[in-house]
Amino acid sequence: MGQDRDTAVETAGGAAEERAGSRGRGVFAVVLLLLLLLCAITTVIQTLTLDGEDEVVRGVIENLECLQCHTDLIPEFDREVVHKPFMAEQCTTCHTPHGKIETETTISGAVQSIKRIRTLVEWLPVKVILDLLSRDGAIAKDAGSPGRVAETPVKGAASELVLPATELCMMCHGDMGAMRNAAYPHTPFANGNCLDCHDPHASDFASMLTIAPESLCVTCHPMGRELSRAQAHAPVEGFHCTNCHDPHGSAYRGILVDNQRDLCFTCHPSVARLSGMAVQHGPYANDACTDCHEPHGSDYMPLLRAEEPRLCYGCHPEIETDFRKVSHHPVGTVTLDCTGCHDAHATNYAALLYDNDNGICYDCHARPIQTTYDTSRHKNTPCWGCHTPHGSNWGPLLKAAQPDVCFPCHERTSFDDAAGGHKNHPVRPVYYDVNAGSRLTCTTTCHGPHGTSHNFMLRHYDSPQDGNCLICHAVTPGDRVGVDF
Amino acid sequence: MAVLARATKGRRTHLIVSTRRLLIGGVLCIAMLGVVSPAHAYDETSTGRPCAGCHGASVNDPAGPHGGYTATSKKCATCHSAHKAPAGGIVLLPAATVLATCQTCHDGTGGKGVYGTIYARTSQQPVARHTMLDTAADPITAIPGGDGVGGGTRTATFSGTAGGLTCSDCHSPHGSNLVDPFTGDRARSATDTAGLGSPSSFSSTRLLRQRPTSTDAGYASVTKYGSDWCAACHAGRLSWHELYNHPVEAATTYTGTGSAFTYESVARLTGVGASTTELGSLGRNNFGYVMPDPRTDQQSGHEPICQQCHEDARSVGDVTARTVDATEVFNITALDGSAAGDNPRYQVFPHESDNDAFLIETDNDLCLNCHKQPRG
Repeated sequence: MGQDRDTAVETAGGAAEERAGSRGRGVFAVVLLLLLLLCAITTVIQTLTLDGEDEVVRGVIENLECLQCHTDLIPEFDREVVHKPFMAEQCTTCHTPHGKIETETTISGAVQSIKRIRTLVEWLPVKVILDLLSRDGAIAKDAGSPGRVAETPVKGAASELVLPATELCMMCHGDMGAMRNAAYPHTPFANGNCLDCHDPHASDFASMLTIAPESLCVTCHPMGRELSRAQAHAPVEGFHCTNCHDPHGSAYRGILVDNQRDLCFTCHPSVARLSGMAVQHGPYANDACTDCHEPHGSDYMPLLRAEEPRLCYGCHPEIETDFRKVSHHPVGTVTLDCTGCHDAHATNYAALLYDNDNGICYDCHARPIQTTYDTSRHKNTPCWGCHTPHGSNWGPLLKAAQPDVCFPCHERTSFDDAAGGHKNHPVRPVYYDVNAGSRLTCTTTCHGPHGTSHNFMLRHYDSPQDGNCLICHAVTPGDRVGVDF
Repeated sequence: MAVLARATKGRRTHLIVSTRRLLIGGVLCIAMLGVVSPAHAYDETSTGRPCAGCHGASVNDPAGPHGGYTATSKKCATCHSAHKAPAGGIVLLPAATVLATCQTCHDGTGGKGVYGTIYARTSQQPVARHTMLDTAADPITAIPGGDGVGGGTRTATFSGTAGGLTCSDCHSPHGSNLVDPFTGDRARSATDTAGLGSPSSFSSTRLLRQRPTSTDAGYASVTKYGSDWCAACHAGRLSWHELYNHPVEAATTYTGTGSAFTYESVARLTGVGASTTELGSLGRNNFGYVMPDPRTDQQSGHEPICQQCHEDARSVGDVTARTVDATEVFNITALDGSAAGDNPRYQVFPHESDNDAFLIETDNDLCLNCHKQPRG
């Protein structure tokens, strides 16, 4: 009896515990459902009360079947830009719907199940309500989407894209296909690696770029070194790569959006204006701005590939040879550079000079020369009649040694002591000019080739005043000087 | 009406002729000015415009083109052409040689220069010439009596063609490093513009160099014209050498009191017939070419200088009294030695002479100017 009573008590106790356990599970289920319902309600309220969220809601709802599993993609709908097929329940535009096999553990399977339930509970009421509110009972769908047309159930051993990755995007973006044949395609684009730059579902950045545009290009094309130089090109500095480059392909070298001249002219109109001038620098005329300029960054203003004059010597090595001669313009040693006389783009004057005739020389030599030269007997002789502009073995920058440089115009027999039978005063540097303290020439003491205030371009006195002679021949007597040598 | 027409026609004809003459004259003037030519001999006496009028700073510039250069004077171009010198000779001169250049002005044309004067006036060649050819073929390099030790001839390198003697070996054409001025005989129209009226105009350096052999080393400068100047070349003629030379007074050999005689300071007679002396220049009178006997105190201890025997030929000295009579006095009446009866006649010493060895007189006349005849 006692044993039975004990057994009965135990049985009654067990039933009570079982009922208590059932009530507990029921309460837990109810609480869980209430919580889920609360989530659904808040989602519905949030959806109905917040503006601008229609697309997001629609995206989630339209793709609810896929998102049951691919819950990690749900936040994608909240990004700035969402890929249209992704938004319009068109996952299958790009993806095959079945056949995905995943290896699951118990825990991961449970987590996945909870996520599915949560997604259904949270979004299913919203779907129902929106369907009821919708005039035709369903969220408007983009019936014209090309993705729907391409939606073909494909069953395979594994989940895969409906077309090879290198061709898939062209299915909708076929208008870009021609660019693959451009002379200079962007390698990722040419290889169909669109996802190197674009996110297929959604992005916070224009054109669905995977990362911010100012960061995207430099992931493959690091610009750190260029940006660290003394001068960076403004578009590079602002990471506006597409100001100059087409990210898919171009007919122009460097994937430029236009030929170099026209591209550069868009921001440099002052250089564009030179294109109408008569004489144009070869690189400028032949669309080769980058022959001289570094488009990203340079240590040499203005974005030159090398410092002057070395940059110029690259194409004009003979000029460097001239500048190494005994007498040379001080190019590269002081403030004077090639561009001190030449315009690197175009001018209206020969040799790309800034001015014609003697004007270019007067830019620097005006004060000591121009005043007297332009009123002298030599005024019709251009500076380059006697001088060479870069370098010479005969100073100052003469085309020939003195006095030979004079003889093309002044006949030798009348002025050269070495010709015509000693009829002329010595003018050759084998003699010493005691006044000038240098080797004698026509111009050391007697004549000023750039004009003087005296006749016959004499430096010191009018002819025939004896001062012209005495300036040398009245000095300390010596060999061949002094009035009575 | 006919008379009026003729008169009008005559004026018109005259006008045309006058215009034509003016045009011809203008063309000739332009042609003369336009032709580049070297300097040529110029007769300053006949033109009335002395050389210095063009070549000197002013007509009162006694140096002419030969000195007095300033920065604004215009003399150098008289002789030198910096370019296109006509002859292509030396130092841009208008002629091929220095001699030829000097002769473009001093060529004796009309008997008023130096070389060629005697021939121009007499058609007779001079008896003596200080020979100076200035040619490459026959340069004068021998100096008679130039050997100061042996008394013989020595050779020297002069500044003329091929090292031969030329004008500029004795003269400085630039008036540089000259001897002191001395009173000479000749009156040059270039300097004596008053026409023999200004004694100061006879004082000149004659552009004689202090070192006549300027290219010949070893000879000191001579500042006073006299025996020492001659001895710069003819050193062997000085009496102190153990040779059979007539005694000669020179500063280099003089051992007496006071100064040695020079051309500007010799003992000369005080006047016509006088037997007393005074110190004065040998030039512009004949009183210094004779010595009274007995000698005066001023002459005691002195010897004659070279020029007391060697000068322009002239008539001086009474053969018995060793004085100068009225017929032998210095008498130059015209500029440039151009008067035929003047004494001395040519005034071109030491370039040429009608006496041998540039002696002032010949034979006994010369010796008896100072010495008695051995037997009365």
